[in-house]
Amino acid sequence: MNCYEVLNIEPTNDIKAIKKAYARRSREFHPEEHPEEFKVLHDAYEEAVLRAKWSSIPFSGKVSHYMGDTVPMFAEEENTADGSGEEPSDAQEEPHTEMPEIKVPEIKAPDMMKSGEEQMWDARFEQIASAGNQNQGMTEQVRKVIGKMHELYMDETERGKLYHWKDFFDDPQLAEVFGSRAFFTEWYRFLQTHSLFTMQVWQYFASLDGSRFSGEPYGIRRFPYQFYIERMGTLRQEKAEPPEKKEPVQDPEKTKGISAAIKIALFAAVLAGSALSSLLLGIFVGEVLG
Amino acid sequence: MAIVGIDLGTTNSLVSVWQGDSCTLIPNNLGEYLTPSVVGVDENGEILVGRTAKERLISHPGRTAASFKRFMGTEEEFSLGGRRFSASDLSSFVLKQLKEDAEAFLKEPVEEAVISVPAYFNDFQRNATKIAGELAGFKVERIVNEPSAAALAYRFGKMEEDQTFLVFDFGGGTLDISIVDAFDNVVEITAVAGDNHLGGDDINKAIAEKFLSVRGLDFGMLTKEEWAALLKSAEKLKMELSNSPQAEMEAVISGRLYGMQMDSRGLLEVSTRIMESIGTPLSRALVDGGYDWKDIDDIILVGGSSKMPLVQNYLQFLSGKRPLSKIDPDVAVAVGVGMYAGIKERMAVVKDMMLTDICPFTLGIEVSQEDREAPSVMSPIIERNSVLPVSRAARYFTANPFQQFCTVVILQGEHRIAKQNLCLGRLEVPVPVGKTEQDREAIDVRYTYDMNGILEIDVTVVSTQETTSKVIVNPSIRLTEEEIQKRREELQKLKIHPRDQEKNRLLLARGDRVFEENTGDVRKYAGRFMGEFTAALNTQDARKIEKAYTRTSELLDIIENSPKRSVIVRLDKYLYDEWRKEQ
Repeated sequence: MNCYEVLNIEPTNDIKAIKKAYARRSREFHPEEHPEEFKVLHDAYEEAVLRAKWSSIPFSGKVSHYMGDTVPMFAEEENTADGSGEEPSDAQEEPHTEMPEIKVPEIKAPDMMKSGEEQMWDARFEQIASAGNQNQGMTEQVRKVIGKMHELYMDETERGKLYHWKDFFDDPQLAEVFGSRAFFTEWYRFLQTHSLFTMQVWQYFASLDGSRFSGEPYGIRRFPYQFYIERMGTLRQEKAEPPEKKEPVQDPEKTKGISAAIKIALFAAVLAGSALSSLLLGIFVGEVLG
Repeated sequence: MAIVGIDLGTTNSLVSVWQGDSCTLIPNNLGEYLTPSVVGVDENGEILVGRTAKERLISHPGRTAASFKRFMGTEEEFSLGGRRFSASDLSSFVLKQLKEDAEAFLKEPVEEAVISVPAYFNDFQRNATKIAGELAGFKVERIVNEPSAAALAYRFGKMEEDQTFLVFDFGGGTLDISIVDAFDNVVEITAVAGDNHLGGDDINKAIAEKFLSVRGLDFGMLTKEEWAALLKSAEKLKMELSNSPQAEMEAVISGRLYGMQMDSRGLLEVSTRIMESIGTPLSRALVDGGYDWKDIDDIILVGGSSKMPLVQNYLQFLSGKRPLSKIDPDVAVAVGVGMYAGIKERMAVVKDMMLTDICPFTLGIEVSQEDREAPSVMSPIIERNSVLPVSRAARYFTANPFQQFCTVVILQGEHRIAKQNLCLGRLEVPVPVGKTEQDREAIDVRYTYDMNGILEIDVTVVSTQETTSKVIVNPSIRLTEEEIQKRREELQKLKIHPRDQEKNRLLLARGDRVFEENTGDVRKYAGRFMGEFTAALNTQDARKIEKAYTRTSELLDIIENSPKRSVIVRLDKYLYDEWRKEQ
């Protein structure tokens, strides 16, 4: 019995007709009542659809995606994309080197309609989408590892023990995770709100960063471990006291701003000083001459 | 006797039933459809479920458990008030509560249920859910996938058009994406992908973390109670941001009040990594099903977290379509499960509706490579996204000369290396020993996966035609029929708090929480109000109790819903008005 006989239709390439036939037959062989027969029916349905899809390739005028990347297909895809207006994620993927002069106004038109706010959101979403692609499922693993570290940290008696942390970083299965970009951003973020480690643990972290793994290839600035190691000594006396200042960790821009401000102030002071001294000199000279 | 449909969620659970020609949601004894999936043990050793337990999350974090669905199918144990419970045990309390609600509503005993699980649950997790149902005294008729149930609910009533839609199910703890092909009476799931550990809870955590980092605080300084309270106000902030562009949160840590403002842009920054993780399963479902965004007619939102405008906008950015939420995302699954219960009962209106589901993971067998030093790899037998029920066979050969046994290691997962996948079990099959060094034996391995996602293995030795069979259940948490019976009796000994006093009980728990969350004068006031309420309860006078209940609820509302600075003023005003009325 071939698949068309099971479906009770003439052989056809019309997927709609196949679906109709399958739907009709499924009333007779509902999976809740006839699981065995349904298995046969469903296999037949899948086969018929597959046959229809394959046989339609050479006959239909359109080039389907089964054929691979051929030149006529590109032209056609491009046209449909133009017709439908904007398809941002799609347009990105296609190598549209051949006709850039058509593409440019096409993309600009919808952008003009959007407010600045919306453009900001779209730009941010674009970043998120591409970051998601880059990380390739790594984010999920990173989340899991950081989650486990957080659990360990919340156990006050255990978090100070160095061997727990060594267990994490020495796990060969996680080696790939620790080298990833996604891990670095998360790890540094984690350390900002999880900093009550012993000196030993801090020193271990500091020694790992740079030797075992490093954020530099990704352009991420090294975490200021030294700051925390030094703070451990002072923190030991007054335990529960929160750290007063965390600027060096949180906002590199801010410190930059501050140092720039200091520079400007110094410059102004120098200027003022020289002006003052020249004035004094002037008075002095005038006095002498006069 | 009716079959009920149950949506057993990470944060909330619902129960529904098919009546006549529509699905009815069943309210709990507080008159609400959503019962929080929270279980607690009180000081007398009584079990509390739902809102009352949820209130106690903050005042008694050591005696209350939430989000235990994340640990279904693992050996993780929860210690509550000196007793140890598995995730299945805790889920069974929730199910039992829903069962009582349904029985009170239908006025007849309910014994059969269809329960929904995330499509991306593996076999162990499905089994654990089934066991939870049995522990609660249900006969579990069917395990359905949540997004499939939601698709069924959407499909009902407009069966004429052919449609392809994407179900985006983003709940408290899980993300599930299904692509559904619907035509005539058929609702066919064609691709599933997801993330079992991604949900709204993660966004709450990210907000709480941001709060700490902005205020220069450290996780290590928080007590359990403070962390629970912080998470709660983070959740409140998240919800407020759904309706207004800017919101504020406050939390008391080590006796000091801290605050933080956030706008929708800030929320995006905080949840960036969660949003990044959404893209992976989305594109995988599309690729697996052979679809492009333009083939998708509609996007259907399911689950509480999909209500976030941020998530909706991101989906719209990716797809170019506005996602739909015609049915409330919180109840869509429950409505669908109720419909499925109707199909199961062969009810007239839905009798012909057909939902075919697929298996979310590839099932295969471990085989050694030609190079014996190399790790063994997985050879797939049933590919992921095959429609259930399905049966597939493949032939394998012995690898070594004079081999006496074939060990069939049953694997579930997508990784090439066998060890990286989940091992569901193993089967030792004796084979005839070869006469020369070159002789090899062949075995046929047949996997049959039924509609409940229960796997059966048949191994046939080709030369002798001898067949060995096995049905797979979780080896580590496998319970025999007797063990389930025994555990059920053990759990039954634990008293569940009587239904009729639930309302007052809830208010007491809420009062405790408010007392815990506040400091100074507000706290003193809260203590006074609760003292007065307890006194009213002790009078045993129903009218007095009712009056005190209204008054105390109103006072607690004032404490919770007004800005911290003006609480005292408003309380004083309320008390003054009350006093004037009495004069």
